[in-house]
Amino acid sequence: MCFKNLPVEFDADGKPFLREDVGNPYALDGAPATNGGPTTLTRDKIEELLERNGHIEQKNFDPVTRVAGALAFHTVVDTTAKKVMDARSVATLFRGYEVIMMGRDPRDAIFITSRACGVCGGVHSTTSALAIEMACGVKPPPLGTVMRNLLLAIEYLYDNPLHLFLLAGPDYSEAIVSKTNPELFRRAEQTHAPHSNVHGYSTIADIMRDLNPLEGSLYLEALGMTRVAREAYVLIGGKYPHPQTIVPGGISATVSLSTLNEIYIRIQKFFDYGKRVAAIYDDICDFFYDADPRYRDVGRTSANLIDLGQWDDPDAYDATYENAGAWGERRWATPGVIIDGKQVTTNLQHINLGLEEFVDHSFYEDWAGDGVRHKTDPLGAPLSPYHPWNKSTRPRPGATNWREKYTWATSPRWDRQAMDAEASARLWNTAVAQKIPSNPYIEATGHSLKMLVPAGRLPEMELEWHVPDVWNAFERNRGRAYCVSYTSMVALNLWSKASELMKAGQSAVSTKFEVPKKGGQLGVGFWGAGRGYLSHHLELDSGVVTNYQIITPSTINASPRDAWDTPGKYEEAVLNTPILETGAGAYQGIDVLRAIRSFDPCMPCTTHIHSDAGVVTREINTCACGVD
Amino acid sequence: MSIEVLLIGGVGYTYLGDLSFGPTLVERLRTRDWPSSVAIEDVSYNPITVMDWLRDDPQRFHRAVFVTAVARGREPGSLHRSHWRPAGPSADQVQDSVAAAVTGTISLENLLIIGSHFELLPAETEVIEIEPVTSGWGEGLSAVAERRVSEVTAWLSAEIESGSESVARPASTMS
Repeated sequence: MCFKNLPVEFDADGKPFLREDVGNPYALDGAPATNGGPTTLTRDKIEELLERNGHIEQKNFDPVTRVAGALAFHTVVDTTAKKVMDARSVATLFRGYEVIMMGRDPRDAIFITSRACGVCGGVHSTTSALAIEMACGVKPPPLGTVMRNLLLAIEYLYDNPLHLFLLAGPDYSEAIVSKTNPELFRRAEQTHAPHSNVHGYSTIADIMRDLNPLEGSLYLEALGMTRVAREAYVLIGGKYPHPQTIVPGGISATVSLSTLNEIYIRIQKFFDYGKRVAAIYDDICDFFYDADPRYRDVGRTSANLIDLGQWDDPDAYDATYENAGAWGERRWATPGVIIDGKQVTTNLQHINLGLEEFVDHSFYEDWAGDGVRHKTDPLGAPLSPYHPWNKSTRPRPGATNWREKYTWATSPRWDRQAMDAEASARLWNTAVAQKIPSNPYIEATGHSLKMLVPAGRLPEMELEWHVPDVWNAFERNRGRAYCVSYTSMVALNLWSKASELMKAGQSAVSTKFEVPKKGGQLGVGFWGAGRGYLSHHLELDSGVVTNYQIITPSTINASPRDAWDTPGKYEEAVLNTPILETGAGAYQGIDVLRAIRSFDPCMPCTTHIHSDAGVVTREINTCACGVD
Repeated sequence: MSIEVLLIGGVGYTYLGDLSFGPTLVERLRTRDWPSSVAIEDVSYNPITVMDWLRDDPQRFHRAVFVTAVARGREPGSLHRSHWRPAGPSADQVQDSVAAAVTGTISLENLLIIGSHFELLPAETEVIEIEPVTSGWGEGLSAVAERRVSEVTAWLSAEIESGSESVARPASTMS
């Protein structure tokens, strides 16, 4: 039984069905059972406290810097108790890729939806290709699947270091820490770095100095590594960030052994780099915990994580919804849902059934009153009226009102619970499921993920990421740091598979197909961005798109409160964050910012900006962001 | 013996009205023959990647002219030409520009700030901006911007053909 809120149960054969004893199974009355979460005050109470108490102040971060795109964050802080009393995540821009896709040939989606993001265009292209493959019934040849996998692994190798050292890293640098918590930096100067034999830094302060933005060698090295990843990426994708070669049915690039060699030269540069990145973040996280255990509460949320898995087994993937449960579990990253630290499913169909999207506090109109287009999925299992296949995107701009609507992000939920979409979710699900294909480099133990990383300049090393006992800002970053090695080892496996296929003469990379011109079809792309979960749900009718819905990791994490006033994950993380800043200067909000940035927010993906009056730019942005 | 090369770089978005001015100009310039001392490039991509490209041969360009469209509330369709004189952007500004660049923002301003910080721009760098008339979806520039493409093309051609690559001229406006 994986659902505790939705009235969906499973028969003896494991087939989902709707409980018959529930009159209105998807009614919004009655708060769902959630596993904890912060106590929240009503907005009226907050306003009253603000009026009566001088030490309770509004602290706004607009924009939140060092995140992709436009995110604002509103907090109300008790400056005496050093506690956040209210937190609201605000996606300030609107975009409507869902609207743009309506009425188009589905093949346009691979190029149009790529533009949803200036970092992770390839994952949007791929996820749309997967959705189209399902709707059109086309299966790529093995090398097409493997090369697509490899392209996306490389994209993660661009994305994760970028976040760790260019966006989040400065939060732990000398430049920031010496200002916000000088006593902590003094302690860092006296603290030996336990992994100095791996990363080469004697003290924690030495690491912090090299995390300094613009000048620190870790910052500059990460800039260099983004180049290495981009060079590998364009060998398959043609260009970055919007690849030209991802197509439904495989890829459209010619792959040779020379291409593979060129890719290997670049992937292997991440072997040593991944060892050092994990060691650096291990030392940083543990230093903060040792210095003050309250850092374990910075960005803390309930351990509810969702991931759709990535990197298909070419022998298992057949692009059908019918077999999604089986081919999903054969992926190099296992799909799954973690609730309160426990995995409740790894079945993609079941994950799909639990998805709903709410707009109670978002600048959109509800659509559920118009009737349900799909009461069941293609296998006859029950679907909510709020499921993406039933959703309509109806923008309704308005003034910000904390009691009502305040953001362009929506509230995706799984089994009516707020979820965290994370790079680490793929580690966690893969580690505990123990379903990863047998291979020489990665082992899932049930409580950890071991990675045997080959020698470079550093010797061969076994890294081990452990399922954390607390889920917070530090563990999100630590997990992302281990993802560099995990991804590079997946890439190495994929590279070996591609080489085998080439040697065996299986060099076909795409399958021809026709878009059905009659009838209706449903498709869904289950995948993930570097930062986590990504799904594209589409519906075709007579050969054109009649519904297209994108849910990104940041849509999930940046979500506002839902129909039951349950905060989204950024909000929950900030509500749980103690204010530990001690610096004598102006309030920096570093603890709150660490909490938010640990999610690796990507707001262009979140809000899919578009304006009927034309696409406008926020200074000019590849995401074609527009202000409504 | 290496020759000194002038870089003409367009920055902008395709299919976005006059915001496509830079790439459109590059497209037009590429249909003509140019001496080997002139490089025409569309640099409408992540400024960090542009910096990587410049870093590969840092002495290649002795001068650069970047062309783009930026809405600054001036007369629509007006052209504005100026030297890029880095006014010492703060470390925070540079950091914000890097963060914007690696997460996908294409912007001449970011390119100039980042290029200056990493000392990769030619010592003589000029900027030509058009104040956009249109910024909506679709192909083609506004009629005014179309004329401006021709004007800038003629101006650059004349300058290159005459060999007068003096950039020691004051910032000017062509309305």
